[in-house]
Amino acid sequence: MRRQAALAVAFWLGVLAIRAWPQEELETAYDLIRRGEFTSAEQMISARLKAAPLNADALAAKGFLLAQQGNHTGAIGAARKALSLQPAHAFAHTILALSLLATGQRDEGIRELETLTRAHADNAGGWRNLGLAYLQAGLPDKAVPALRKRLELVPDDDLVRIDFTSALIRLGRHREARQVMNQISRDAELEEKLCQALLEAEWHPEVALRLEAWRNRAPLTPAMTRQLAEALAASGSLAESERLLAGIREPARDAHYALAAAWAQILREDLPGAVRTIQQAIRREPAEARLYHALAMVLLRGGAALDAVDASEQGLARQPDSAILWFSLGMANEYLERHGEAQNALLRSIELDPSNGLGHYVLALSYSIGSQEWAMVEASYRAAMRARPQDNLILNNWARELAKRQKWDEAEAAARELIQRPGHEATGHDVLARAAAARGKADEALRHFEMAVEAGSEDFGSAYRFAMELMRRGEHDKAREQLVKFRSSKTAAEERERERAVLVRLARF
Amino acid sequence: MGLRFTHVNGASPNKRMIETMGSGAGFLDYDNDGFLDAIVVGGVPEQGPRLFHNEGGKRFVDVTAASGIRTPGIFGMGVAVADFDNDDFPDLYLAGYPRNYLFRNSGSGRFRDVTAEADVAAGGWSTSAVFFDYNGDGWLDLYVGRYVSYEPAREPFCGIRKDGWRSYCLPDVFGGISGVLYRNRRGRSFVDATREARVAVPEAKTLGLAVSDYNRDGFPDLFVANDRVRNFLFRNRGDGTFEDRAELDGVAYSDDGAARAGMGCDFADFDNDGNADVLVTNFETEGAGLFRNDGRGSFTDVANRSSLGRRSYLFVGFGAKLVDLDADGRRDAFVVNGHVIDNIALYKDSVAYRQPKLVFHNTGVGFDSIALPEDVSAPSVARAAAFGDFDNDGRIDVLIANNGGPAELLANVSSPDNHWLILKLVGTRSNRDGIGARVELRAGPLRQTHEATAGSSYLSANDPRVFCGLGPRRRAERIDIHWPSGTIQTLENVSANQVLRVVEPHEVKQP
Repeated sequence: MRRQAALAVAFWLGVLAIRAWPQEELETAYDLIRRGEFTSAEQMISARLKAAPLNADALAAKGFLLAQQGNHTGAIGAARKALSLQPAHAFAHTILALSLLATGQRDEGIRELETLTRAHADNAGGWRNLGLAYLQAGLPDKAVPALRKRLELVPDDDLVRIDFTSALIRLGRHREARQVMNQISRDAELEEKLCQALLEAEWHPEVALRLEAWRNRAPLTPAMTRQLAEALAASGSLAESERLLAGIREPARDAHYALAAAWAQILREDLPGAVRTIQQAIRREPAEARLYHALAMVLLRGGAALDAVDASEQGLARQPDSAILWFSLGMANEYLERHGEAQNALLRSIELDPSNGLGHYVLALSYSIGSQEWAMVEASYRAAMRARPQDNLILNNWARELAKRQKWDEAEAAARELIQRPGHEATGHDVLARAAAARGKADEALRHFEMAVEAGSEDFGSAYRFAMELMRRGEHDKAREQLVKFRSSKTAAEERERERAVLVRLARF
Repeated sequence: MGLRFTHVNGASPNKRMIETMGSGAGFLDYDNDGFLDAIVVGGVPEQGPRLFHNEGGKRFVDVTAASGIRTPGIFGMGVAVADFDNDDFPDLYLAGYPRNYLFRNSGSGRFRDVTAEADVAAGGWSTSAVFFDYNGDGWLDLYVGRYVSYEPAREPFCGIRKDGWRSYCLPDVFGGISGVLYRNRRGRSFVDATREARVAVPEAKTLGLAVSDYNRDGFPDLFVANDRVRNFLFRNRGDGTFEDRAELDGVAYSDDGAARAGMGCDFADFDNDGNADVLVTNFETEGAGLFRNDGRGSFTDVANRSSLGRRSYLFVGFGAKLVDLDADGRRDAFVVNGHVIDNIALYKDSVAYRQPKLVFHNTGVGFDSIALPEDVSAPSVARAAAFGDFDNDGRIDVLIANNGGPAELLANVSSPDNHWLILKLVGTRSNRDGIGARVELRAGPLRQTHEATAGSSYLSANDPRVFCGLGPRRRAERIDIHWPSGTIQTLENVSANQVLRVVEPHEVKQP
């Protein structure tokens, strides 16, 4: 009898424990969290959990609160508990995913968002979060369908439209990007955000076009002026860029201004001037990571790699989790051929920002030169190409790397893609020629070597290899002629400089 | 073993480049007792070379004082050994900065400095030197490689202007300097034949040398490894002149057309196809070059097709040789390494100053890297490596000269199961050492081609005897010796595991 009574008590306690939280009360708790009134929110959630400790809504709310307070580990625990009670709890999935992403557990976070959007195809927030997570993970190809889905559900979300544009540009789908951009409201704040995204995607002419058009209708904001100056400088209109920058007065001479002004000075080959401009800006905004990064990059361009290391480290002392500062530290160390330190810094940078395709690329170069670990070289190149599929420099070096390692099938595939890209046909033909030569297809090799040389290969090894192939075929006169061309074109010292120049070319900010 | 020698390189805060290039080592049987003696070259002028007598393959005794070998005033570099006067006793040439020495072996254990009368002091910074009979007159000529146009007092500052960061300069900051070819005038003196033989190349920055008749036309050719300048391949035209064929024949550059930092080198047939191939060691991130000779005048760098290229990639290679270490009938590769910048750790974290030795086993289809025992593989700043069987046990041993460190004598203790043959050639119509003789051996399916050479890779002199690994075969069915004089001598059914003295017949015998 006593046993039956005890079971009945337990049953009712269980019912009470999982009883749903009234929607109105739940919304209030969320509002309190959103407003930053954490103490009141915590009291409310704790009271609810005391009354109903197995309530999934309250646990999810607790997760939300902890996440907002920066306690992502706690948030993960609360969200997981909520999901164990109610596996389809959309908000708990969201909290769990975002906290996983925030703690660097990117793959798990993305998996969680994929689960959420599979189960709740109409969860617009889920699609946005998934698209952004893909973008940050350097997977623009996956970001595009997720963000498109979000826009289908919330057609007026212009902020997501900017991210969508960014993803399309990274995939080289510029025409589609332009169509998407045209749907964005003509609002100054949105325009600044869009132009910043375009600058980050290195689509400078488009920024210049948009802002020139804007200027015809309305005055440029200081941020837009700086953006236009940067775009014009990068597009070669240096004088106009400098005129615009000169028009910016205090207090609008912020970090953005300093970066644009320094870039213009670099293009004028005034590296000391660029260093001074950035150092002045650092004195005004000593916690701005981008300034230290820019300083390091300017110093690197000038060959002062040790000073670039110092600049990066000074910035990291203030912003230890800045991905771009770890990147500049990695670049500077790689320039110094301190491959181990470079790799550590670049890995940290990528951990913080996996979408940094250049970080993956420099890491690939570092592994290739410094350790010869093929698995690492390959993984880094593949990540770099995923993040920057249209980057010709990366594809070019990938093809050369494959050829160097005599991985002829993959090298051929990369080379065939390269010859479709204007300006990169020479490397494509050179790699195809080497692959053909390795397979004993002498005629094909010769044909491609000839095309590589005609296309003006930057890799002067092409001319040499062409000459050697001619020698092997007994065409001695042609081989001699080719050797004369080869000799007059380059020296080994220049080749070494070319390798270093790749890093300097990447030293942008 | 009694071979105690510690190289003194005179390392100074001024980072004089010569301090980092090391000095040489060599094997020679100076008293013709059948056992290889050893010579190790000193660094700073006060140190000088040391000659060690081999006491029956059991131990070495320092006999420098009694030998009369002294090289006052020079920073020691390379050593070359050969019987230049055909009197049956090997003589010594010691290269260095700012001049070189030639010592005539009297046969009584004493050497006499004959540099002045022979007129072979060269001058400048000499590195490797090698004897070979380029004009086929039966007298060994001498080629001396020189590194850079150098004056220690005018050493520029290299590295970063920060305490402790000054570094040794790379050769780019100095001008080149041509090597010197000395033609032997019947063992009495030499004449500078550099210009007449067309081997004067002012941009040369030579570290390594190797000789072979790579195109099998009967005239020995010369490979010259240069540091950050293309390599040279001086093809002997047979009329007393040479033509540099390195670019046309494909050994001047890497596969990318880049001049690498050539250091040690060897010219030997690693794939037993009868054609001499070229091994060159280079700087870090360049990888060693292994140029396969296709027999039609073209070489292809095949280093990256095996672990040889990949494994050597991170090291600064110096002394090297294609040598059959396990007597299985195929030449393996032995490479010693060591960086040239002693504070390299400040600049690069993936490169060390002291580096391991690398051994690559020739499998017949490629080279496999072999792990050496810890006591042997301990990293050092190795420079020269001389190869020879000092205890006549049929296994090639290695004498290594370390920069600023003790010399190492590595006794080869690989399995004695395989059979072998060592030929000591004695020329009569040819030069007395038989240098340049081509030996073609047949043992069952095994076909080998060897050439009697006098060194030198990097600063070193090797056992001049011809070593043939026979694998499981107990005899060689046929050995054809093509003497430089044109005489062809055939030996049949030669039993394995012996040192065989072969005297060139006076009469020409048709094969």
